[in-house]
Amino acid sequence: MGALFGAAMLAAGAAAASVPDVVGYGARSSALNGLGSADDRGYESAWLNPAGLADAKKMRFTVGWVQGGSSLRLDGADRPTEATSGAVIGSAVPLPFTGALQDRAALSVSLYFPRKVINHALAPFPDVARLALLESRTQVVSVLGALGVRITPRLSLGGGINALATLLGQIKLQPDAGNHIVSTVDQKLDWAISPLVGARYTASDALQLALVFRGAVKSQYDLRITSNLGTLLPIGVPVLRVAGTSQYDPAQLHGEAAWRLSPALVASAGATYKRWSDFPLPTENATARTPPQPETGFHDTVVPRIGIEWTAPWGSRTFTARGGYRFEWSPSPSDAPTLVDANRHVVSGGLGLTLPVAQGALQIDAFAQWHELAGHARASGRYLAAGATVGIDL
Amino acid sequence: MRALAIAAALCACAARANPIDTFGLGSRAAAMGSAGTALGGDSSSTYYNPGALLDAQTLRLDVGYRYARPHLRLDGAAFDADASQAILFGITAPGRIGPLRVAFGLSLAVPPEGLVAVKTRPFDSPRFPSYENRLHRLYGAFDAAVEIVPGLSVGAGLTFLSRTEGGVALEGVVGVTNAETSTLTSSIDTRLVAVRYPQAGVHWKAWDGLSLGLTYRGSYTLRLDTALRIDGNLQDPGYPPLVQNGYFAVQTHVVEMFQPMQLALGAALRVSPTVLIAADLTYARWSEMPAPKPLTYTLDVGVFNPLIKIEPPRVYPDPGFKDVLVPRAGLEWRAHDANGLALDVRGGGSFEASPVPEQRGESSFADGHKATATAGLGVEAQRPWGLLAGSAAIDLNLGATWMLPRAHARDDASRPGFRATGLVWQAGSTVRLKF
Repeated sequence: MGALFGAAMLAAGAAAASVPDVVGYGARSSALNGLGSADDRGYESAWLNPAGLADAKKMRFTVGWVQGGSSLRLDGADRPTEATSGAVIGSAVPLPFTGALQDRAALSVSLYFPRKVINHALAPFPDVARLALLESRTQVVSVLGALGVRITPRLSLGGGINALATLLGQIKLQPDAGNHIVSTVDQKLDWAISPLVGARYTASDALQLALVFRGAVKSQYDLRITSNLGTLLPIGVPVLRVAGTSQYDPAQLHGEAAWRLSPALVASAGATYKRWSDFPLPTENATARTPPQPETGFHDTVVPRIGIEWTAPWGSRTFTARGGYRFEWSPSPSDAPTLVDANRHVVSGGLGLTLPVAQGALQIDAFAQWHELAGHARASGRYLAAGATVGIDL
Repeated sequence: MRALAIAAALCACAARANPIDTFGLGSRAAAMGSAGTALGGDSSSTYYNPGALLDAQTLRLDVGYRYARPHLRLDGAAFDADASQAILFGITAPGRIGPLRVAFGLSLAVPPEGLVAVKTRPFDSPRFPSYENRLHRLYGAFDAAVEIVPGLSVGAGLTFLSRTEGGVALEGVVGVTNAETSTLTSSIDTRLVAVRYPQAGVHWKAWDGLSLGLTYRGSYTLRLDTALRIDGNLQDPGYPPLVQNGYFAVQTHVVEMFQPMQLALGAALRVSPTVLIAADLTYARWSEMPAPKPLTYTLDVGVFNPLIKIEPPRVYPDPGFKDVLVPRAGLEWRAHDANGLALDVRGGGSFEASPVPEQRGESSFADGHKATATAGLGVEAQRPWGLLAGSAAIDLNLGATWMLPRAHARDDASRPGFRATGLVWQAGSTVRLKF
């Protein structure tokens, strides 16, 4: 998994982002349109709010699948994009300390793993228009590690990391004695670690509050190619620099409240500040004399979300229905020449079923999400994602 | 980006296998000569034998660190090879699904200096395939195990790595008399494709005091399949183009890393209440190691075409590696056990025959037989500070591997042979928590 997780976690390519940021992480959170920071207590907390892990009561492992596709248009033409397709694997592991640490801490190692790739770097030439935040945005593995600790009966804190890699390299080309091209390569994949920290406060039996900070997830590449092929080629090859940013989720500050309106009904609302103004150029110029590219001009955004969850007993089982909405304000200027993006209305829904098993429960959840692009003269279309998970207590 | 691959394409493949094959996983097994196929007891079972995960009765967490330093010598001179480090994290989570006893395990060995480091050299340059790129790579494994009948369990899992495919395109103007006046922009379409290889194991507590294990690890080859293309005019600033719409394109296929299929058979026998001995025999099918594929290229630089002197792509010979059997043995002696505090003393060793044939032709793999001696200590405290119902242990391990001197003479007397040897030190520590 090393070169799995390694491996897992490599990067190269175009400015894009991850499934947790686009769709959400886990079937419950995705059905609630990214909400759950205030009341989730399972593996989804690894992304939503690590403090929520402190409420995990049983060790649970969850597996699932997410599938998505889009129908997008740019400048009046269809714009094909890669389908979202990948596995969700999540764990919530309460740490059974005794004494002063009893029932206080839990950890999670969770990931989203695309079916075909670990990362897809796709960046056209800088002067080619593209849908900057939707093309191949979900083609990257997300690996999350988190720990939550209950500080007081009402307050929990948590922290975690989201790790990607930065590719650095140097290549030298030169002739050998037989007039073949030979080379030496020095390549290194270095760490790019992003923090996740969160707090959860139980204000009353009916109200829970959450505040979460997610650091920017930024994976870059920077390769320099030098050559000394003067005896083989009649022309020189310049020093080439192939560099840019392959994956980018902006830094985020998310606040949320969850109200238990009745024993069966919980309503949630939240807002996420996203620092898109730090969005970097997807590709840098390859040679020093190439005229500089214009800045992206992206601006910060706030994304409001609402969600509702209704739970009802069904014999020895429990049935749950969920729904949510968010407005994903586009960070791209409306007159952006190449890095085009549009506002999105996102509607979501889902179902859940809890079945008792020998010593715990079997939890089955499913969700669907509809993203509709709106209010842009050049960009339009929709993106649809759906998925399901199965979790079991050990 | 994969201009990077150009380079690699034109030189010999370099990386072989992973650092866990070289140094083991976790301090306890590493101190016992990495004879861990039948041991069990911690998250290192994700590597040694997934079937042994069920040896854990309660939740276990392992955190550790490992450092290794190769001192390699080529023709008597020191050969530059970087030290290898890893931060270790492991979790073993046993439980029940209905009537079945199951366990899940996760292990990560994360190099703090970077996830992966690859250095390739020209095919003719001597290199140490066992101790260069092999040591600088992230490792992770996720396994599950189930008990078939009491005492007999099977486990399996996947290890994930990645390979690269895709390419880079550049377009613009390339300067004729001064290449640095070039103005090029780039585009990229590169995929890091998941490569999964399986591991599986059977663990059998044959009778009280004797455990047997059998582990399979799949093989894999990581390739860099990449294209680089430059399109544009050959033109100096202020002058008309000398060549319009010229191009240079190259396709590369590089073996970045190869791990052989492995089959390990192990036994662990408690010969007395205080003494445990373990032995492994591992078959590694190195004979499947592929040769580098030649790169292909095309170009059209107009009036300059007749002046190109590049020879046709070089075809590389089969490396001719041989399958090997690696014996390992280890011992653990509980030297003290009283008042909730135990002290374990460990030792072990292994002998790994080199899979590399004598380098009489074009290739230059510097490798020799490797003899390894290991030792270690473990201190385990029951119910430390009342915070754990189980125990906390800290293990230390040391090891030294001597690569026996080996000289290679060429069939072609005009090409110099070479002589290789080396000594590799390693040390590590792991903290193990049993809940």
